[in-house]
Amino acid sequence: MRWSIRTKIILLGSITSFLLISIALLISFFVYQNRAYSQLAKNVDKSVHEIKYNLDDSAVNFLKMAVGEIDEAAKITPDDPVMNTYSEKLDYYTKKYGFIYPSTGGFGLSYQKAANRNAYMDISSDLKSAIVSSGGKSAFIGYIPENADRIYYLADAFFVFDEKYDSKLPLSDYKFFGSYQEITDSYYTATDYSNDEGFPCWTAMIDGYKHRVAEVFFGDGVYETDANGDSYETGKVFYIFIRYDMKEINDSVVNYLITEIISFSGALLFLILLFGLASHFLIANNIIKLNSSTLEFTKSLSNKDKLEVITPTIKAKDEIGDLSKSFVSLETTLIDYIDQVERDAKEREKINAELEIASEIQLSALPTNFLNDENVLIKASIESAKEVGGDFYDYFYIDSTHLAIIVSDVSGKGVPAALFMMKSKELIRSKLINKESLSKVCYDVNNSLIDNNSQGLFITAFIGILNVKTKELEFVNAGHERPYLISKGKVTQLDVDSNFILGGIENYKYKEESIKLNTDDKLFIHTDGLNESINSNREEFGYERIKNALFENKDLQIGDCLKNISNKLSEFTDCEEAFDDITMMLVELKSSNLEFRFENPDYDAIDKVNNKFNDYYSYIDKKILSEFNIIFDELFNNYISYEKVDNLVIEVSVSLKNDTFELIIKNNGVEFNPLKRNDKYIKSIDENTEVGGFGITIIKNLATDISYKRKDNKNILIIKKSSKKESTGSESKELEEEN
Amino acid sequence: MEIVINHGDALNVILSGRLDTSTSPILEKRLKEEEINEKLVVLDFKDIEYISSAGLRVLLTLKKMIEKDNKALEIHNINEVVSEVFKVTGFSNVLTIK
Repeated sequence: MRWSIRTKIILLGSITSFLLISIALLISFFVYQNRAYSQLAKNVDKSVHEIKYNLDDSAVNFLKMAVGEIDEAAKITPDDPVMNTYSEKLDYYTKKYGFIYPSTGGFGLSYQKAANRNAYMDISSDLKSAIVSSGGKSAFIGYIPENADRIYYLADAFFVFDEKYDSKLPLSDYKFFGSYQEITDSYYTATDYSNDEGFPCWTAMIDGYKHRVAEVFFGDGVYETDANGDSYETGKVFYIFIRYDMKEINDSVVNYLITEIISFSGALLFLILLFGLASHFLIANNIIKLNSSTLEFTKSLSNKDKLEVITPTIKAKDEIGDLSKSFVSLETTLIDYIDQVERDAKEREKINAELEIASEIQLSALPTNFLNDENVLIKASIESAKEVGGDFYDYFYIDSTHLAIIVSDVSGKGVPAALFMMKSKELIRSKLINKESLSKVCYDVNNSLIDNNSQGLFITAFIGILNVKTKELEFVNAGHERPYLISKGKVTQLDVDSNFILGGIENYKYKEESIKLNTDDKLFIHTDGLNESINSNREEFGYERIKNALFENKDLQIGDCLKNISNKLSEFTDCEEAFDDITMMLVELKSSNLEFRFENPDYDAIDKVNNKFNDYYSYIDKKILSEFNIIFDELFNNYISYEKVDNLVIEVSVSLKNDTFELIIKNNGVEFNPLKRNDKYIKSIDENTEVGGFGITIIKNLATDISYKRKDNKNILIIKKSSKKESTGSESKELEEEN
Repeated sequence: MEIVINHGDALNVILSGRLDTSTSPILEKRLKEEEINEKLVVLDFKDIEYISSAGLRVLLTLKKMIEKDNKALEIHNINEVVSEVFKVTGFSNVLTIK
């Protein structure tokens, strides 16, 4: 069960006030009771005093006589059995002489005398009036012999004063009192009404009833001297007991209290409520206010557009007041903070969007990542560590025979590197176009980069110029990673002069180098992001892994080769974030001829030839490629279907020179010159029209020129065809009708 | 080679890829198995790259088969290469090309 703080505080306030009021009532109860008791005690003491002085001589003599008899009875005689205590003796003699008669309430010898009986009546009468005047319940006079453990009864009020209580207490009970317990010791408290000095009085419990006890001495008028020589009066001591009842007093006190509570209950309830409400308004209310407003504020956080401070400042000068101030300041700070975060987020979004655009612009400034022409095949990839990167590659024909190849890495990262990259790329391109020597180009670029370079940025670069005719590669390696050469099944990292970076030392002289490449050679150029990529063990990918990856993939098409190296790197770094841009470029020097050889081919060979041909000459117009596909389809279909030699070998060689394809296709079948066949051309169709035999007609029409020769037991067909779309040359050809 | 066949007022056969030695038998088989209720069969060459003599052979076979049932065959959307092949072989004379 959840109790709100309001409930708890009101409850606490009410309970506290209830307890306080209860304690107050209890205290007043005890004070009242105490006063009543002491008043009673005073009254009783006064009555005891009156009794003493009201006893006349005959009464006193009677009492003295009774006491004497008790003392006499207690004396030890030689005939008596051994008795140790006074009480034992007294009991014995009482039984022996029978002068105590509990059943009649009187005394043996003394009581039987008429004079004594009158005295007894007087005593009873005195005791009775004492009861009336003191408010006691009953009274008696007793004797406590020396060394006795009980009180001996002498005389009582002779009748039951209060039926209600005393009917339960037969007079015989007064004879021997089972227990006597002194409660208060208040000697000489009885008021001195005459010249008397007063006498000892105290309170005692006798058989469970409270009694006021007074010690009374009646002298004999005879004086004796004790061992010390002091004189004293002989006489008898006995005691007056007045029983009084506390219950009545208590009842009256309780009644008083109940009346008080009832008559003031409205006021009490009001007090309790007042206390409860005061606690509520002074403490709980503020806490509740604070609580509900902070809750509301927390809810309002979901709507970030309409944030405002909700918690009120509570004026109370206590912890809650301080707390409210803290909350207000907390909310203000939080609102400001959220506002700031929102603005920052928007700003970041904007910046990110701009960076994405910048990245697109940057990438669009690079040439496409794929070049395929009759000379080279180039495939490049660039992975930026940030949205915009500092790496770049470039390639372009300076003229028809000179292909510039650049791979570069700008120092630094992010936007500054990107800006510097754009500048560097354009600078290198503009210098290269002027056809100056590479060392001069680098010299100029270096000095230009040093000028107006407040940030001290620089680049490393591999700049090469490939003569596609002679396959000679001139290059300058300006502080860049050394490229790899894949040649004749081997992979080597070229031993090139490192030179210094571009944008470092003014007027630095860059050393130009050159290398003669061969057909089918591949050149792999990369930035240090590749070899310096690290895995979770802080190991670098390194040159050896690059070399191995190149070796494993050396026979693949260069696009697949790059993809595999990239995969190998991902495997190595295993999700470790790249901290630098990674650029890779593969340049393949194409062989002039595309060659195939098939032994006992099936029809699948047609697709193989066509796919490879289309890939290799992907830069040629699609229509020309399709026409070659038809030519291959017709020829292979024809050879495979009709050449019935045991071991059919078809050899294909394609070369492209001066925009003209030359296709030489050889087979080792029986001599057959397809050109001797008439062209097949249909004008109409009937049931007898043959459905085949159009292949040669199609080939002849698609080719610019076609010739046949038989040499070395081989059928050799040489087909020439322009690589340009416009002239297939077959349109004007007269076609013969089918027979 | 992909073949998509739609039934309707005419049987529309949409082809893509090459119609050559390896793919022509597939087309032939597919159309021979197809239940043709329409009066007109249209071969849509929109995405056909080229056709070789193997393809021509299938076209001629299909034309004969279809016309035997008094139905018509039309070829739509041919490209330059296909057009040229049709032209040099005289197929443009016997096929309804649109």
